[in-house]
Amino acid sequence: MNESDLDRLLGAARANPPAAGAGLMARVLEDALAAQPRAAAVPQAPVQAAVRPAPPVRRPGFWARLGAGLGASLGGSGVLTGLGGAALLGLAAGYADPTSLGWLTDGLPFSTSTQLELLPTAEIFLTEG
Amino acid sequence: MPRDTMSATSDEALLALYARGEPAAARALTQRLVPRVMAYAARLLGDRAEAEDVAQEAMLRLWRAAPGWRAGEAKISTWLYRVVTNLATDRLRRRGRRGAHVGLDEAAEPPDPGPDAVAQLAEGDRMAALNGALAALPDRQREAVVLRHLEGLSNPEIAEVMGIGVEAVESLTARGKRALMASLSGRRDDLGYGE
Repeated sequence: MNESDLDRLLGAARANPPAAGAGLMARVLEDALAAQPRAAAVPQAPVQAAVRPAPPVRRPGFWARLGAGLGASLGGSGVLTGLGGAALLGLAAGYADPTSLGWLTDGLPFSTSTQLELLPTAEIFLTEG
Repeated sequence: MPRDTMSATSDEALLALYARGEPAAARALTQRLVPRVMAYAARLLGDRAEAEDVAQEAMLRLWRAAPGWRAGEAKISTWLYRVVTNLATDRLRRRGRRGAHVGLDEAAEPPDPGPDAVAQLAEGDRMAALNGALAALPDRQREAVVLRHLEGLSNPEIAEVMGIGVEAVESLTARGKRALMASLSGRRDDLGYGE
């Protein structure tokens, strides 16, 4: 046998390969489906399980929101504190006995009282002309 | 994915679809790869039952490797040829190569009967003689000759399958062919090459 004969023989063998039987094909497919990863098991489930839900954000109460709103509109908490102090001082002055406020008014330059009559002839409104 | 689309899809893309749980990809890969795996295993082992076991085992390893398969790293067919080569080599060593090439006589029969029954018989005899001569080759020569001349791989592809250089592949196939010619030369007339 020469090389040409061998090449012809190899060519004939190549054209007629040993066939895979139907039984083998079925067994391989069965293995494939049994070993196949499930479509639903694609990586998302473990990622979701690993992420903890964020804690709920607590909404501030009414008074807290009112204070924050006023403070922001009036220029900040320092201004709000000054206004509150002035309001308290005004309330105290209104309720207090006037005589007890001499310490507050004694030092003022217009402490001496002067009578001023704005409508000296008030009777003119009562007199028919 | 439709069947005709599957047929136009590469092995690597089908394996990626398989790993994502697409059952049609499992069927397409089975139909595409098992005939080649089976033919190669049968030619190395010369025994149909053992070849089927090896083919099933090689494919099972592919299914298990699918989720971690990295695209572009290895050609699937090359990887499968390598797995089959290793599995067949293990079996040949275990059985001491006794009684090889009995079952291939049937597989070598041409599936489509021609007009001349005598010619068919002669063809069957030639295949049986070739299988016997292949079985007598050293393992590495047989692997190289089968991959080159029966599976149609290029020398660089064979080098990758066998883990050797291209020059070593050329040497193995050349020595293998010379050994086949020497083995079959005594039967030249019987095989119809005398005239």
